[in-house]
Amino acid sequence: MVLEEYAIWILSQMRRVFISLILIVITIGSGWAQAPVMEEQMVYGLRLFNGKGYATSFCPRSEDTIYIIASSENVLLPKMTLVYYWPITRKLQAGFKTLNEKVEGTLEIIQDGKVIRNLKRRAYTFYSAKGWYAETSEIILNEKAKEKYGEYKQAMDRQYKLTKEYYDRQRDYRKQMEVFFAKIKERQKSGMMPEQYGRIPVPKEPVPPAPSKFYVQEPREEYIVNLPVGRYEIRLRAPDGTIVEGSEKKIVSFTYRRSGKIGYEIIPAKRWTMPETSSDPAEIIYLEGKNTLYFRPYIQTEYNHLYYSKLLDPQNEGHSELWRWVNIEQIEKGALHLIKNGKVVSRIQEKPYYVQHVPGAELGYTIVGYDKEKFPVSGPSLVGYKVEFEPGKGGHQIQLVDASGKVAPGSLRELRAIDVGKPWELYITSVVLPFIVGAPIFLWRRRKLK
Amino acid sequence: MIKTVNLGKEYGDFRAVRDLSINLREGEIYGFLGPNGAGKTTTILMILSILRPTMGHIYLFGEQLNGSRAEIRSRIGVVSEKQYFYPEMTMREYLDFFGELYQVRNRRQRIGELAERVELANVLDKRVGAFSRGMQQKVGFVRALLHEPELLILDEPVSGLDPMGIRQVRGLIEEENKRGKTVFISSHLLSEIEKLCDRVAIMNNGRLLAEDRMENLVRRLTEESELDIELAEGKPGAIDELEGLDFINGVSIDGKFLRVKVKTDQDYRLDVVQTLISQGHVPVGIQVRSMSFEEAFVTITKENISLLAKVDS
Amino acid sequence: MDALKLNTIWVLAKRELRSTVYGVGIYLAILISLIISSVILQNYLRAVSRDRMLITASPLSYPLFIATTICAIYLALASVTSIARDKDMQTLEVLFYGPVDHTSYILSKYLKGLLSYIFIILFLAVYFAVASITSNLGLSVKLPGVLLLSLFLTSCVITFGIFVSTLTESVRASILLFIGIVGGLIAIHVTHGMLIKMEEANLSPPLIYLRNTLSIINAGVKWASPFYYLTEGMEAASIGSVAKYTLSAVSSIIYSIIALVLSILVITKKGVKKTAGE
Repeated sequence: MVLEEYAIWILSQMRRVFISLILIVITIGSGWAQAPVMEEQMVYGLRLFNGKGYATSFCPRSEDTIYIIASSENVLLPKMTLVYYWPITRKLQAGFKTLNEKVEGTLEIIQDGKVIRNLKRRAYTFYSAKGWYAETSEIILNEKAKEKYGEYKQAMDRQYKLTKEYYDRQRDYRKQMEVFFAKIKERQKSGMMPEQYGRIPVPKEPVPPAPSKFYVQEPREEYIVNLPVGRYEIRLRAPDGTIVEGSEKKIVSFTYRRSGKIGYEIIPAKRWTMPETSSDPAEIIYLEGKNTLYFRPYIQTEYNHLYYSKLLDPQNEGHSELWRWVNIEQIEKGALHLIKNGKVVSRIQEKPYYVQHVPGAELGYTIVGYDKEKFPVSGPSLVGYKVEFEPGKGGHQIQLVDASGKVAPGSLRELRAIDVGKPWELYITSVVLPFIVGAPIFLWRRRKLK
Repeated sequence: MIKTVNLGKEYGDFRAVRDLSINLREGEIYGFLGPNGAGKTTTILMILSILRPTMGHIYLFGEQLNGSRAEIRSRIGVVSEKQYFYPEMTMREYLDFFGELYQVRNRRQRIGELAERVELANVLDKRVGAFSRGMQQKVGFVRALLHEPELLILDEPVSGLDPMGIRQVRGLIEEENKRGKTVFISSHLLSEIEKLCDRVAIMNNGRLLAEDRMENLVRRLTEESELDIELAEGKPGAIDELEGLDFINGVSIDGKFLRVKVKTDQDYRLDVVQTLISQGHVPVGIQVRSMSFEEAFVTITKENISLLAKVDS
Repeated sequence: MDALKLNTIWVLAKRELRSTVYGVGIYLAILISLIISSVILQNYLRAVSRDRMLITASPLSYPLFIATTICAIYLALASVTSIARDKDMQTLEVLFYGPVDHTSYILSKYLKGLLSYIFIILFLAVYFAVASITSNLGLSVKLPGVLLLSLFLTSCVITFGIFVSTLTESVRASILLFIGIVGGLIAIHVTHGMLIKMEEANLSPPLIYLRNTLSIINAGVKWASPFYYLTEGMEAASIGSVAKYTLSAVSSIIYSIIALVLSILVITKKGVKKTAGE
């Protein structure tokens, strides 16, 4: 009785409740509409090893733990900056362009209450053998960092010189082309037919110099942290002996669970700039219609989902009970087997391909086999295994086989063609299923009661 | 079979049942009488463990009832005043459901037999929710008898029945009693209680006022009876002589019909007749009018507790 | 538990299940859940068609989750009204004339709910089998595991409904109370979710206070909400976490047991007779 009356009272108050909810939403919404509030904080800029290269992020005051991969060099950059909340990404951002002030001190590493290391700033640089955009990079420390940068500078100087020579040759080429066109015009004016022009040498366009293949960042000095697996704390001790406010953090140094399994980066021909990944052999690759796919197999390493997500950005969320595969190194040299009904129907070799922009074509580009002579300036756009997929019932499988013929572990994937042709089948099934059971029961019951 | 000792049920300040001690013996038909609101149904619900007593004890089949004892209730058949059904079920399905609940063997056969007895065999496959009140009451009976209970508890069992139906139900009750079932009937229909019950308990305002055989109850409560005497002719002076007798409580005459109120401590008919004859009056007919059970019941429940107290002492 | 009690539970549950299967409600719930699943699946397939590719281990998990949730809501409503309906019709009292006690009555309601859900699962299994064949999505090896886990999760919803039903005396009050409780839980969860995503610096003091209060409330009430177990369990199934899956199943069982025990205690205290004036 009491509960019923209470329930009815609540409903009678619904109008007030509804208005209150609206007010709360407006208040919250107004919080969203305000300009971001900047707060000066001590943060750690992070360049952390992610298994293949270095991820860039920062650790604000609100995050108390930094995650690093064990036995790897990681860069911590303590600095004062302005931190603000950016509602679009729902994350804190660092205004390094506005304020980027180094914080001096000694970085203490603590474990079990004891300071086990005192770190000072060291010179470091990042070296990418495959250029600025490469996924992989390595860190070089101390004097070697300066040496490597020296090499890079020399290469850049050479590059600059070659580029300058190229522009000079370009200028000459354009002059030669003007002469060439003038001669053509002259012959036209004189009334000659094109077949009577005779041989006029066509100037050869100069080839631009190949860009430098490697990149080295200008060396800097920061704290390099390399720790075995375990949990630690860090803090920055200022020159005056005090602990810098906001510098105390925890560090979780973790390692992988498994390594060596094969994952794929899959580049669809129709959208080559938006590749997909398949890390788990349980995953199925669903395709619609005919598809051309380029498979790039990688060796994968398995990390804890939470730890790895936090490594990429301390503000990320993750699941501690999950694991994720991370592509570490692309596998080259092998063959991809296309299997149907248990039989290998095709053995695909890895080849380089080039994305050629084609004005007027439907896609705007076409992927062709890479030919160094045809495309002397650029290298291949991608190197992978080209799979031509034809739809049909059941599925195909792909599997990577190494040079010795051994199947790479975890490399099997299923490809299935989905059928979107008849949407009504699903709706009909939805209606028919309950109907074919319910209607007879209902009618039988009615007859029985009559 | 059923014994209650100082049983009571309170709802806040209101005492629905107080200090109730009754004793239903095996094999008897026991009537439980009282006006509406006397506490009869509350008592029945406590016996069935549907309501928890506030005080006192209940003994069923010789065992004290502590909490809900489902297995004890398997030995009881209950017909309530109103019947409630699952509206989508047929009579057969309804009875089959209860038969299965009570683990009745050969329940299909048993349902058929009982339906025949109450003349509902032809509507077994009809929706029980569409039955008339009387038919529903009969279905309730069949449900109560399905599992051959040792004890039948009937709360207003003939409510809503026509005279034929009442007679049928009465016959059923007597038959089942003859087969050894103990019957506990709660009713306010005095005529039925009078016809069926061996012993009666009377309740009012939550309290037990009397528990005895009916004739004892009536006798305990009536102090006088009336003699209706028809004379051959109405002569004056018939009254005067009679009024002088000490066992006469009152005399009135209407023509040749005398109404004489006599004490009930013994049979004074001969004395009255002899007195009249000695006065030259000729009695041609004499009838005794004693208090009916209904009058006794009304007398009791008009809170005439002092009368009962006087009689008991 | 003796044979009489087991028989009582089974007979009561069977009667209710028959009543459910003879009715229209369950088929309507199945129909709605399958149609919505079809819409989701169709959108899925169209997305694959648009992007030409989709990589996933279990594409049917999300539509299955939605179908399960809809059916769970139906079962919750059925459970919520069940005891109140028996009291309204006064058939509850008639049952207690016989070998029915509070424990067997509540357990029979629970068993009926589970059996109803198993009945529903048969439809879902057939539907998703057909869907996987017609679309060639294929049945994932995870699907039976998801269906099994959904049984545990729906058990939470059923027992929650039974418990709410014991608190009220009429069908109307049951529904109102259920909507009130579920609405309140959702409101707390959503408001809390919005506020915790905001940086404290951007919140006014009253909102900070509200956020802190809601954090405490949310931490407590989420354990009481059956839908929390439903979403956690489905997440466990979709991300394929065995540990989370097991934890989900175990916590659902514990929740169900607690809800059933509370239901038995409440109905024992309140009694089975509809109180006067209701």
